[in-house]
Order: sequence, then C-alpha cells, then structure tokens
Amino acid sequence: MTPSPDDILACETPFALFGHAATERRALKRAYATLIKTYDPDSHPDVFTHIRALYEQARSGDTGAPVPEAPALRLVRDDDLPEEPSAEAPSETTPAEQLEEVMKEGDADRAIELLDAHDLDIRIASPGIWFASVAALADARTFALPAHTMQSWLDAIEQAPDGVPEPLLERIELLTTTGLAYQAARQDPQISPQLLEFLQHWGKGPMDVAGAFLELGEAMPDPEAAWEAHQALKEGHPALWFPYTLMANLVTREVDTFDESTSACLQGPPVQSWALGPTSTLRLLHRLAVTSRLSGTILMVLCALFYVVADAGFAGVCFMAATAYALVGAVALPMVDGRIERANQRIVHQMVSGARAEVRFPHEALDLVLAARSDAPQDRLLLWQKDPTTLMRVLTPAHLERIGARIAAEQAALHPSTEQAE
Amino acid sequence: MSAPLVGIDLGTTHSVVAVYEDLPDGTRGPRVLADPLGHTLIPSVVAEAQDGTLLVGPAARERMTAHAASGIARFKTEMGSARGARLGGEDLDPVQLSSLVLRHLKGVAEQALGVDVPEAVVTVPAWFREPQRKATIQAGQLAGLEVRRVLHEPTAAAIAWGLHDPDSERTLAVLDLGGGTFDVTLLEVFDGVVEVLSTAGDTHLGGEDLTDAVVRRALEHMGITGEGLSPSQRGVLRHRCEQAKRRLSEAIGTQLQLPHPDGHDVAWTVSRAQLDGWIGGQLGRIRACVREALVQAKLRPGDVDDILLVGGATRTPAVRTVASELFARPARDDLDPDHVVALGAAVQAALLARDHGVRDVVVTDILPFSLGTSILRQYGEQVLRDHFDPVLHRGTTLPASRLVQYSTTSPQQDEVRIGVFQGEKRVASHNEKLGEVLVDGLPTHDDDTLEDLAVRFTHDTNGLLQVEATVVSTGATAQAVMQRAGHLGGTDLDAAVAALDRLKIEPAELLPNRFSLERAHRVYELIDGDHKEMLDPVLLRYEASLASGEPQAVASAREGLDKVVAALVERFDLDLDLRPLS
Repeated sequence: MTPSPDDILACETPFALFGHAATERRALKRAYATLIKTYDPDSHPDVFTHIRALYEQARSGDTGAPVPEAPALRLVRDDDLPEEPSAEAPSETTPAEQLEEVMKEGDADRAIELLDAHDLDIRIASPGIWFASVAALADARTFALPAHTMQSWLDAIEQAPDGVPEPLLERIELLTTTGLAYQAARQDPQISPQLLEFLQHWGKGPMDVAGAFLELGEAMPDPEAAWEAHQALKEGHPALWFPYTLMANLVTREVDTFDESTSACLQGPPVQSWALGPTSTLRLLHRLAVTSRLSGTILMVLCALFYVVADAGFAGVCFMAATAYALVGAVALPMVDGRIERANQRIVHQMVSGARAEVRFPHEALDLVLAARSDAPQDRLLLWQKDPTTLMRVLTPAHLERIGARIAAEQAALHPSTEQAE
Repeated sequence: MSAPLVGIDLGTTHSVVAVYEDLPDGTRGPRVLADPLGHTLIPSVVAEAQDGTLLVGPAARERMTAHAASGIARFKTEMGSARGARLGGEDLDPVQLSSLVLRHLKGVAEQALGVDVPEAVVTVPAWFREPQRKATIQAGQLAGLEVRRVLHEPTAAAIAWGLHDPDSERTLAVLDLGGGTFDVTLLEVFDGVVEVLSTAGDTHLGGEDLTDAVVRRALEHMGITGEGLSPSQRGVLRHRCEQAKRRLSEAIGTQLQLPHPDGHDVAWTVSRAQLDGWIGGQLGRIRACVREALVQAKLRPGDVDDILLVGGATRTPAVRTVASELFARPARDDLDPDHVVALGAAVQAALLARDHGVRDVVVTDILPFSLGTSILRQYGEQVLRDHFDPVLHRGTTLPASRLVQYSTTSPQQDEVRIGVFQGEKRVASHNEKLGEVLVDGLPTHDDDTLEDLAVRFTHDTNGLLQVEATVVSTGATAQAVMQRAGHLGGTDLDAAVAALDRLKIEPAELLPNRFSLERAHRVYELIDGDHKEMLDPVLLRYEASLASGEPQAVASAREGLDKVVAALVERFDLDLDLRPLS
C-alpha cells in the first residue's frame, strides 16, 4: 500500500521510508520508483522533493537504519558468553550493532572476525544488517573475504527466512558466490567441484564469472579439468561459449590447440594460427627458428660427411656456416617461445580487463562476431584475418546476451523443435 | 475530441511535430505528423519570396537554396539575442523567426489532426540558458501556442527510447548532434523512471559546423575565398558540400562539382578519411563535452550501458566512432535520430495531460546550471566582492528547494539586495543575472550585531524559480518569482504581434503551391538553355494560374509543372533534397 503524503513527509530517515530496501541498491530503486509514480514531480512537488532527498541519502550509504532491538540480544545463548567477564564493562550492543560499528570504522579484519564469530541462528535472526555487511565487505575488499567465511554465509542465505527482501538476497548471493569462486580458485583448488557447480549456476553474471573462470583455469593443474569447467559453463549460458572457449585454451596454455578448438567453435575449417594477432609474427619467427635449427643441423652433418669422404676444403667452410646457422636457430627458439607465452598471457589479461569494463572496441565488433557465425567459411576466415583482436574484445554482458539470443534464434531456426516440425 | 497537446522539436535546421494518440496497432503512442507535402522534417527556414510574401518550411528552403540572401536559417543558435534579419519589410529577431516556424508547425498539426492545437511541449538543447528558454516560450506565445513545458532535447530522446522498455535498468548516454548544437546527457532508466543524471553541451557545435569544414576545404581546393562567389553560388556550394558530407556517411569517397566564380564547375573528389581529418576539431569538442557529463554524473565510461545518437549529424561515421570509442559500446540506431526528440516531446505532453498510456512512466529532470547569489567574502584582511555562491547546484533533480543562511556585512546595513544568478563562474557578475530580491527595513545596531537572513531557492519543473528571504530576527520576508515563462505582456506583446501581423505570410494551405513554384525556379536555374525553354511555358502557365486564384486552374497547372520538373530532375540527376522525405 502506498503511504500517504503525510506519512512520507513524517519520515526522517531513508530506512523509515524505504525499510530494508534502503540497504540494497536495486530494491531501493524499485521502492523509489513505486513511490514517485504516485507522487510525481509535477503533481506533488513537496512530497517528491522529500522522497528524492531520502533516496539520495540512502544512495550515499546513509540509510539511518535502526539497529535491531531485543530479539537479536535474546538469541545470544548463554554458552556463547565468556565464562569470566572481562575487565571492561559488558557490552550492551547487539552483534549487528557491533558489526555496523566496525564497518563504519572500516576495520575489515575485525568485521570478518565478527562475521565468523556468530552462529547461523543469529545470522538468520537479523539478516538485513549482516547480509548488507557481508555484501559491503565483499565489495570493499574486492572479494578478499576468506572462502570459509563466504561459504558459511552462503549456507545462512540458503536458510534465510522469507522476510528477507529477495533482491537483497540475490545480490548477496551473487557477491558471495562470485567472491567465493575467486577465493576458492586462489586458495583451495580442492573445492573445485563445488566451484564448478557455482559457475554453472551463476553463469548469468558473465563478467564476474569470466574472472572467476580465469582464476579457476590458473589454479587447476589439470587442463582437462579446466576444459571440463569451461564445457559446463557454456552449457549454462550459450552466450559465454565463444569467448570462454578462447579463454579456456589460452588459460590452460594449450596454445598449439588454439587453432583447432577455435575453428571447432566456429564450426568451420581450421583457422591459420597467425590469426592470433599479437602472436602471429612471433609464430613466424618460431617457425624460422625451428627451421633454422633443424636445417642447420642437417647441413652441418652433411658437410662433415662430405669433408670426411672427399676431404674437400670448402666443405669445412660450409660446416662452419651450417653450425652458425643451427646455433642461431637454437638460441632464438627459446627466446621466441618465451615471447609467445608472454604474448598469450597478455591477451588473456586484456580480455579479462576488457570484460571488466574499460576496453575500447569499434562498434562493428558485434557484427563481426555475428558474421563470424555465418555459413560461409571463407567469410569467417577473412574476418579472422582482418581483425581477430576485435573479436576478442567483445566481452560485455549486453553483447554477450545479444549474441546468446541471436545464437539461440539461429539454432531454433536451424533445428526447429519436434512440436514445430509436427 | 479534446484539444491535443503536441510535442515539437524546434531544431536548428529542421523541426518536427508529433502527437501522442491511438496507433493503428490498437495501442497508444507517439506519432510524427507530416505536412501536406508528406514532409515530416520541416526546415527551420524563413525566406522572402519574390513578391515579398514570407515563406516558412520546405518552400522557404527551396527559395533560400537558390537565393541564399532571400532568407535566414539557423536562427535558433541566436535565440535570446537581438540578431535577426530583415524580411518582408520588418526587422525580425530570432524569437519572431522561431514563432513563424512554430506557427507553421502548429498549422501542420492542425491540418493533420483536424482540430485546434493550442498547447505544446517544445524541446530545447539542454545547454540553453534561461534567456534562451524564455525566448523559446515567447516564440510559442507569438505563434499562438502555450508552451506547457520546455523539455531538454536529450531527455526527450531518452523518454522516447525508455518507453520501448521502461522496466529495464539501464544507464544511457544521449548524444544529440543537431544542425547547430550539441548536447550530451547521461540518464538512468529503471522501473519506468527516466532520470537525468547530468548534461553538458556546446551551443555552437552541430552538423552545420561539419559542413562549414567541408566548405572551407572546397574553397581552398579552388584557391579562392568565399567573397569571390555570388550569393547564389555560395548557396549552391554549401548545398553540394552538404550533400557530399551526407554521401560520405554511406560511401568512403565521393565526387562533387564546385561552382567557380568564373562560371565553370570544378570537379573535386573527397574521401571519408579526409572528412574525418577536417572535422577533428569538432570531434575533440564532442569528446570534451562527453567527459564533462561523465564527471558531473560521477560515472565512468564503462558504467554506461547504451549510447543513443540523436540528430542527423550523428549519421557521420566519425561521430559514431567517437561515441563508440568514448563509451566502449556500439551506438544504438534503432530509433530515427531525426524523429526521436519530437516523439519524446509528445510522450512528455501525454505525461502532462495524464494520458492513461503513460501512467507508469515518470521523468525527472535536473537543473542544467547552478543558481545562486552574489556574496561578499572575507579572507584575512581582504574582502572579496562579487563572489558567486551557488544555492541550487547544477545537476540537482527538479523540483528542488534549499535554504541557506547569510548575514549582513555591517551592523548599520538596513537593506540587502540579493542578486539571483545562473551559471558556473566564480565571479557572480560573469554569470547570467536573472533578477534580485530586495530586503529592506532591516534593524540596525550600534554594537557588532549582524542580521541573519535565511534565503530559500525553490525551483519547480516548469522553470519557475522562487527566491524567498527571511530576516531571522524579525521574521519579515521578501520574495521574488523568476518565471521562466516571462510572458510578453502589454505593449511588448502588442508590438511583437503587430510586427508579425504586418508581414504577408504564405498561408499553410497554399504550401504545396508555393513549394512547387520555388522548386521549379530552382530547377530552372540548374538546367541548360534548351531545357529551360521546355520548362518556361509550363512555369508561365502555373504563375498565371496562381495570379488568377482559380483553384482548379492552379491544381491543373501545378500537376503539369510537377511532371515536367520531375522529368528534368531525373534527366539531370539532380539531388534536390537536403534530407530524405518521408
């Protein structure tokens, strides 16, 4: 029910007007939109101005939310209390209050301690502030919460009561899950199966998952497992399929299989490896070095044989030249390989940083991707030759969704369902 | 049927009128209205015909293309100033010229809808200052239109776009590069709310500046200055450069014939890459405006989900590329950049009329410039005068109200003049002065006591600014209302209306006749002698029929003339239209 103008004007804090929604960005917007549709700027300027002021206050992080009262205190069991009272006066603040205080002070380590210190009952009893805190911590520390902290909170979320606003839950779930994915990949490769499950489930957040997936690929010693994760991921979200295929290959350092798997993704003929952009010149050098080392060695052997058999003086000169030729190849090869490795790593990082926001790409990039899925193999090849790096930069959620929708539509058109066929 | 409220995009080069109504698919939505010739883009041009009659719209454009000195265009960029033109024996300022265009658009709407159209929502560039907004409202008043709301063009565009999917949550950047002005506005759309976050722009940057760049290079190519060309040749040169610029939006190169003072044409080939180089300065100004808008909104380029391009000049590939590069996003082009502003204005009109089709849409706008007062500040021994103290900051969501407290500067001070300024300059007098509030009868004191004054600035969504000052000790108040509408009244209005009444303006219903005549004249000037002889008798017959005033004779002669003109246009492959006709 929409509150009356008097009720709204009587509200002094965002929390009083928006309730729990004040603590969560999306829910706050929804509540704000609902209110101003009734009290729009033209017909109710005073009420709108008041709503707007409280909305801006909430957006700045000052919700004015009251701390939970007695129920939270009563939930602290006697056996949770220290046996001997400390020298300081006993604290009368609730766990939520303590956490809020610590958050205000910006003491993240202490906040994590508090988050870990209380059992599930307390978390469920006063979820708003706790969930908001864990979300804020996750944001503030760029997912640097310990994996076990997030895991336990995830458990709490699953058992959260119905009263918790759903958008708040969703956001915390997303933050916690992706944060957990990062941390798990960094800290504990053993929880990979669980991570895989999360990635499949949360495939709808491509940017976050891309980062997590990269961590996963780096953390997993076994490329096969990384590949499996990638397969699982792409099943979860078709739009993730193409770019993550590239990433999977690069991340697992299977550079030599890049061409085949990429072309498999494109369902077309093999693509030349020099299409990889930054590594194309290096690959040419690589081939030259290999050729130089191999042919130099063969020439060296032939010259030596000729010298022994024919005792010809010029064969000795040839032997020296061939040796130098082979040596150049042998010295250059590891250097070139190192450069290739670094170049590929750079691509990965460019892709990931691009996925996260700031990469620049021309507006025809999406069209290139879509055109790359055309049925004309020659067109695909040309596109790759033309600007492969453009394709690799297309990693924004909006585009991925559009590509996904387009792919789905194409697939539906190519393979109509049984009902349709009938 | 109740009187409809229309939305008008009063553009620098073209204007568009739209209405919110029942659509053929059974829903309600905005629709662009066309004039009797089928044009939806009405040129914002006023010209004087040979017989002294004033022409507005397509006929005026035809006239002015062939006779550059016979009319005036781009007067919107001079709104709020006195710079105008002498036409029809009267000196007309930009307000009067705009009123002629608005009157023409009102006529177009009335003809299309079959009812009187007394009110409108009119769009202006977001970067227009208060005098320019007032001038726009006055132009409406002179045209017999009550301007119910002055809406920012980018906001209008965002409304039109937001209506497609009002419940999605997106951050938009609207880049509006019209004929003469550029605006960039960042907006947020969520749950049916369209919220302006920031706006920035350049009042002297538009598609015409891009054309100017091509014209300059064309003159360089011929090794002459513009002064060597006759007014007619200048018109033709500009027209051909404009066409070349448009062709380069589609092709990577084009060729054009430049009129030389000697009378012969000079062939010139230009490439898109060359054009991109010539307009580098303008692109730099676009980048600067975009960055300013981002800073104001406290956003990073990556925070923007969609880029919406508005205005015909955004079809220029270099402009699109700059937009895409700045935001690392492809620009959207699913709405016609020429119509989207008028469509949004029509939606805003429906909102004001509380139309049931837009019940769940709310639009909030912001203050484009800070509003504040002039104060005196002390720094050590130094007293700094004329310091601007913003009370309502740029970017504040409207309506807004804020109270600030000031004090007198001396115990003996018995009055205070609170100057009200608009702008961002630190020195108050460098900003636009909107008015002042006089607070007199202040109590004086023999000791060091200073009087405190509580000053409240309240700005509503219609541009009405109320400044109220209260003397804290006595409770006495003084206030002033700075009404944007600033309606002309009394002698001002009478004088302006009388000036317009003295003009002989071509009636809207005769527009097709006049358009055919002016176009035929233009074609006549472009073709060779033999074909001139072919056109001449038909044109003569038409002119005679117009003089006779016989409707049937006019219709018959016009039909014959149009056929001949069409044949000649095809024969000589003449590209007469500056813009595509709907």
